[in-house]
Amino acid sequence: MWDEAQRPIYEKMFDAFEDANPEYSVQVQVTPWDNYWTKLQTAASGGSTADVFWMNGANFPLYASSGIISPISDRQAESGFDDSALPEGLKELYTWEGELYTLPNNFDTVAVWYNEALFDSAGLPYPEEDWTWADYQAIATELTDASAGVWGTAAQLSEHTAFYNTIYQAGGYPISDDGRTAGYDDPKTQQGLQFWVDLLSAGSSPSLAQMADTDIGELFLSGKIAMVYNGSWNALTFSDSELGKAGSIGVAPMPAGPEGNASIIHGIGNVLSAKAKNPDAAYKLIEYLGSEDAARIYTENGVGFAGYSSTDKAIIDRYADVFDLTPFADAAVDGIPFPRSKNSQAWMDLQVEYLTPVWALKESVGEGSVRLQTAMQEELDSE
Amino acid sequence: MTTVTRSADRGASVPRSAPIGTPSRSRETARRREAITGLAFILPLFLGTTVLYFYPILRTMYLSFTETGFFVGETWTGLSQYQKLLADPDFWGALGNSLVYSIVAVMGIPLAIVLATLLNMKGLRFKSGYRLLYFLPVVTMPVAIGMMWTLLYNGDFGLINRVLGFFGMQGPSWLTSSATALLAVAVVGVWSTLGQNLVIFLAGLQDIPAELVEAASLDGAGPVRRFWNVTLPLLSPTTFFVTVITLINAFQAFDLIYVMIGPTNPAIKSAQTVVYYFYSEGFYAHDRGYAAAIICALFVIVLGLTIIQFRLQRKWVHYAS
Repeated sequence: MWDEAQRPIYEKMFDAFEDANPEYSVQVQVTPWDNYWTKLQTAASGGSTADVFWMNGANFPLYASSGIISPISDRQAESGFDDSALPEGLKELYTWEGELYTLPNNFDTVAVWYNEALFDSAGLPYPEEDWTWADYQAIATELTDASAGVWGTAAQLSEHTAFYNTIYQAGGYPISDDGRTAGYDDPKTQQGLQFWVDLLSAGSSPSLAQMADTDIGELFLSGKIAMVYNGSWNALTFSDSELGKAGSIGVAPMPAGPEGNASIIHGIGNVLSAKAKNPDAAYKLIEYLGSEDAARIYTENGVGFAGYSSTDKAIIDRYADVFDLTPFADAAVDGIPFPRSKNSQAWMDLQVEYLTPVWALKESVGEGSVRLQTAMQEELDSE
Repeated sequence: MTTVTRSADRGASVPRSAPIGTPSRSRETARRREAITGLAFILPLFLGTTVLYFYPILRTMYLSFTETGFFVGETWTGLSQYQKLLADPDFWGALGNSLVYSIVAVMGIPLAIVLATLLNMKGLRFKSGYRLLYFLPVVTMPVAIGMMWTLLYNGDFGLINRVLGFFGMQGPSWLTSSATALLAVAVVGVWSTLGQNLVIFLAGLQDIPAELVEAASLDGAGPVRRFWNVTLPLLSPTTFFVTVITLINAFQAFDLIYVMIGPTNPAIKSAQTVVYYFYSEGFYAHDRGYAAAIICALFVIVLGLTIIQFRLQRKWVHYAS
């Protein structure tokens, strides 16, 4: 797993699993996000990954198609586990060639986290549920105070938490559903990118260089950024921060673009290594982690949203006196599964490469998109 | 060097394990036993070096002629990876960056010489203290150095820009602007190896016979003249050694760029060195065959540079006879 903050809660789940299955014991290894995929790839090449490990939607097809992980459909059929309560979109994310590879025990969506104190001192009302892109841009300009080093927003160069959402909200798409065609030549996609470039040109956001220098989460928690798009997975860290403890963090759904305010939905999957020494035991663990019991532990400890909608209330209540997480649960209803293809990493890197000059305001959205489209399509064609 | 053995000494050339007068067959077995013992002693290190050095080097060279799959498996493709390399603007960019980095590193050598000369002055107090301070960065982990300097260089909140602010200057975002990123990292590279070069030069200076320098001053040469015409030429073997080592290490620069810049930095293209590009192709893009070609190309380049330096030494290195 890659999140140290979640380790204690996972260990609680492992304790419960070990109580129910005393013949097994679970050992956990945390590798920080920055090194996780590099280390996993090396371990996979050598056949020495953990028996069960975290997977995300972007990397899943690569590992499934290369046979590094095993589907669980056979074992699931044998054990008769009923996964009908889990969200379809998430199961789709972890299905390859018709076989399911995990029981997704969590999901995350994107919404706007904002600093209530900054809104109060500017005398502005908190964001409304039906606000639009134009509202967001106007508020961001108003809340930017160069002399105090405060910006209205942070236009991050992040696909998951920023531009994938706005691309879909504009009616465009980064990649077609079948993962074969890039969508950056579609004017609607470019509109989704323009939203961010407008914020950067208006000066309502720190520059790309500044955001690369200092982590956005840090800037937000230090009160330098008024509103930021980010995922529900920050709930734990944000609530623990000074700003959170002062009760100054609020959550609002994303503002609506021309075609609504859809969010990307994603969830971490616990997958089974094809080289696991005891695959039956490993499957039992995956099944347990995908069960409602584990979901309850997950949500009651405030890690994030679990796959079972019955547990949504638990996590919203958990954080009720710090902030209201309902917008994240609402966003899951029409959530768009994280877009990917067989080797997503290659073109996700291209997105960062070609959009960097656009975000640095050295190229227009049109120019950058055309170049990205060519490069990305070439990459997809060679898959 | 010639050795003269008198007939009475001939006994000393027989291995100690076989005393004089032992019949020749047992001397043979004794010699063999000694050879085997010797081999047994070096076997652990030799095995380790073979497994961890020679085999990976050979395998990497092999991989550079193949096209690799994501996890395992490769197909022989001959020179196609090298052709891709020659046509790749990112590789040439990285090579250019490595060159700039090396030039800055080499500029640190005169600085080390000057500092060593100053530290070698007679009657300087706290000499060990200065040496300690200069050497501390050398024994500090590069990751720790990288993290600290990243904080110092931070565009908005870093100490460097704060100090510049006092003088009314607006410092740039050092590590995220293409113009300054590479130089910023190169400066840290020089800073972290200065102590090592300093200590080597100090040793070299102490090897210079004091009489030669005194003779020069008696002849009327001032301190600068003495330094330039006596000290420096006699220091040239050390300078040669330090230059060769510095160039080799500078071309292999990776850890500082990895820690201080990283893949999500917009300035990465203007700061990535060849080894960083190798890492990024091999481990981020999963293209191990191409990465192997990159690193083999670097090996050839550094080897070529070192050979050139060795050839050139006849022109400027004076070995004391």
